[in-house]
Amino acid sequence: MEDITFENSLRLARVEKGLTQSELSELAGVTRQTIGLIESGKYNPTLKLCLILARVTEKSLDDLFWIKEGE
Amino acid sequence: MMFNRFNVDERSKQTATHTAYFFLHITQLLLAGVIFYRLYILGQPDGELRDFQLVLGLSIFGYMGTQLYLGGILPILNVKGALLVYGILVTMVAGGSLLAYGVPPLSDWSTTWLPAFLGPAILVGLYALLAWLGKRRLERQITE
Repeated sequence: MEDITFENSLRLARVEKGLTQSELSELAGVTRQTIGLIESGKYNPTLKLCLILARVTEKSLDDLFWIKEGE
Repeated sequence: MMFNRFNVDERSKQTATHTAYFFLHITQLLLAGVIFYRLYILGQPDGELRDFQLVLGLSIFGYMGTQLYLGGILPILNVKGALLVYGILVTMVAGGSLLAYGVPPLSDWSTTWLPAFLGPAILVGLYALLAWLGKRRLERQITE
């Protein structure tokens, strides 16, 4: 498979909503650490959590998560 | 959505799964090492290690069997394939034992010939059963 990386704009979406990591984690039902790791690209959430985060931040899945093709 | 009180989310479950997987295999390896050490270094009789062997066997075959069943992607053996695998296993077990220990007396059939022929049959039978049940389970889930 070609070299791909997963990227997201969760931090931006969270700040736009005026939420802290802790508040977003409560709304999504996960730990603050998980939110931090997703934002820093060190943890790939399941589709279920992606959809929950998209709903909480009122973004589409495409706006929040995307694949970056390899150079 | 309420934050759960034990801080368990999908990431911590995933971490717990990876940790359990790692330490299960470490435990199995160490247990095999203990059996090997007691049998061949300390020279303890085989019968004294039955409990260790039983626990190790249950752990390895239970793990593999459950994984194969839940995976549901094992190729199902037809009769010809099952007989072929059985024949290969018997040849390996019986051939290896004959080379290592020579031809055993017929009076000891229950501890020599029987396990050599019955063991592979049980293995092939269990495999065929797991493959069939696993595939059936998966097909049912898909069609539901």
